[in-house]
Amino acid sequence: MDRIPVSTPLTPQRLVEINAWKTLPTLDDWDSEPPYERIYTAYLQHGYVNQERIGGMLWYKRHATDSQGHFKLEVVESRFGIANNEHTLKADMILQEDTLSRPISWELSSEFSVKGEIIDERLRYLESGQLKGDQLKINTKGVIMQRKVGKSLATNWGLFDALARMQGKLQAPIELDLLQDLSLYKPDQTLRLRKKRHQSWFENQDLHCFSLLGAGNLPWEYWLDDQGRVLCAINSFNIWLLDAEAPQRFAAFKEQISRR
Amino acid sequence: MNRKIDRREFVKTSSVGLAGLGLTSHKGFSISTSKTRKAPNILFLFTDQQHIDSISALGCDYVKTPGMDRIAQSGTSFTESYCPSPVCGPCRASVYTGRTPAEVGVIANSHRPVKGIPFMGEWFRDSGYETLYMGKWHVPQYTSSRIPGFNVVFCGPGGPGSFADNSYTFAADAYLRNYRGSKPFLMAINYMQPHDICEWLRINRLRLDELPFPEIEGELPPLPDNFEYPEQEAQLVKDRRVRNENVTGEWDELHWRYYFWAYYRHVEMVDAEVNRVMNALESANLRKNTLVVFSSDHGEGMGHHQMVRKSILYDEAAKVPLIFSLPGQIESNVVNKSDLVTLTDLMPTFCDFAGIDAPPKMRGYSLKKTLTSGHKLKRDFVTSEIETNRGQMIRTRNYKYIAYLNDPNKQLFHVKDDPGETQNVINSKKHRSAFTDHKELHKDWIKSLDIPENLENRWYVS
Repeated sequence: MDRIPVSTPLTPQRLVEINAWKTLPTLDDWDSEPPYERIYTAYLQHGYVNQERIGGMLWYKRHATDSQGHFKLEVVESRFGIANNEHTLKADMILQEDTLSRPISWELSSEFSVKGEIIDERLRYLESGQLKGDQLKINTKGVIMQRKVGKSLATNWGLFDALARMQGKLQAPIELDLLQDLSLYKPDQTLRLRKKRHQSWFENQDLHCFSLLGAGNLPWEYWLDDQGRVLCAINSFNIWLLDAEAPQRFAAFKEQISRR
Repeated sequence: MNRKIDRREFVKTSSVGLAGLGLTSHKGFSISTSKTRKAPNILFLFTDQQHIDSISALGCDYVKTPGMDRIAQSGTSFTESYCPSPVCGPCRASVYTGRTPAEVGVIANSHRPVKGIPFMGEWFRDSGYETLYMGKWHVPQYTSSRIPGFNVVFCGPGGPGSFADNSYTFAADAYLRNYRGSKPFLMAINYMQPHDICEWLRINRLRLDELPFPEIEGELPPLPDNFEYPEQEAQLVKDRRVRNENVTGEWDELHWRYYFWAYYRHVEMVDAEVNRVMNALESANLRKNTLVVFSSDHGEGMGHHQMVRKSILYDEAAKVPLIFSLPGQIESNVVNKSDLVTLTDLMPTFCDFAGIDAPPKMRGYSLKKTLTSGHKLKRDFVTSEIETNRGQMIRTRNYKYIAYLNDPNKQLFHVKDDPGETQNVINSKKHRSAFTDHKELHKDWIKSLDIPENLENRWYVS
């Protein structure tokens, strides 16, 4: 098998060139008015042309904002293991409809399964959390972890919504602390709009790029269209692509693996 | 800890009357199991491709590693710590057996281990431990749900650690919080980061016109002092520098420094996972009776000798972080700069802390006395091997000798005066006797090994 290095950083344009993005999303499929759903396929790019593979799927539903300015975000993220096992994260989050979609409270579960059957109850993880002022409190099986956080706290899942609303408004960089997967606290991140990195690619539109940089992370780049839809999020070589066919693609991939 | 018992002889002896001696049997090997001891749990945190100088508490200024720091600050770290092979598969085969890669038959990635050598998971399972494994394996498969003696909790997607490592942590976190303590556990979490730097290199191969993120320019680490390399090197080492898809061929200084910056972010990613596991351990009140061991399978070039990745015997690839922590038993916040140690020491050390005999023919030593009472380790040298065993390294107190099979370009570094391995003193009159001594040491070492008969390697048949 030829192993041709990708050689340059991944952008939407480069994904097309290396055939990582074989089916382009259809804009009509994605409404931007809440409540709406988004589905992403997670591709893992090993740095070789034509050698990306499916790693998982991210689904979320953004509910309408209530009178208090809060909204619910339901999230299911699945990561698929080689040995037919699957790791599933499920979160029900209440977020504030503000600049960064600050989390207010949430419940998170994590479980491992093989073909839909839980493999070990001891590996089931449950967490509830809330943010009051600058106090973050996470309760895991009755053990409470409390810490002071920066006032601008964001979550990786909530950022998808925040960026959609931020489109065209962000001027100066935003400093924030990140609560990744509601379980890893990563302070001192900076979100920027990278005006110079627009590129004409998708249906002759300019795509807008936001970057998130900070300790404990490789740079994230989020690419959005003019309607604020996050078309893809790239974390060096992990790529989340907006993909209406993600469930079918994921199911087919799992079937393919299970036959090995 | 070579017990000087021939394996066949040992098997013959141990197959008689084990039950009457209070021993359990493992494929012909004996394991003593004390009923009275309160064996500690063992949490083995094993990263992939982590340079020894990449932990903030141990002096690296370009990275923030609160997770690794808390292990170092609560335990003992080594600075003269080596891996048995700076390649994933051979190293892991060695670590999980306590034998050299060649003895296990895994002299390169994708080689299968020979039969008859017990693996850590089997040894501890048969000694009454619950044995759990998360993450990468690579002996020979990259990921596998079948690892000898271990209950494989989640082997992951076989892709980047930046995607998979978090899943291993979720499994470990849940297990620790749900642990009820009927048996002590040996949990091996085999993170894949910062190995993702290999993928990063493939997508950042071409010359940069400008930094993709200009705001980081002030954060870029400088070139290392030993960025240049000695003229006299084995051909395989020269090849290694220009091989790797010619990753660095178009790089200028800025690009090298961007690579260092990116590498430290990879380390910080896995550090966040380590930190969370340590939180879970403490939340579950397991910290006091859990031996925490942190290490990595090999290092990373990081521009030393203009190298990236691994597969060489210079210190940047052959040295690894190695930290032990057990509150109340292992002294905290200690950096051991004098003892030469190797990852083949892990198996006998784990066994010693667990109160069980180590398997026969261990190539390493138990470090328990060194860790708990400052006992000076009686060891003259450590070794490492590479390139399907064609390259071998002998590291003594003051010198490092590197030899490649059928290559006249041997190297001898006086590491006490030249820790960056920049001056090859092999032709120096001053160091001639050291050269002779190390050649003999190497020869004797090779003779002492118990190499499988079918291993195609000329070091062992000539």
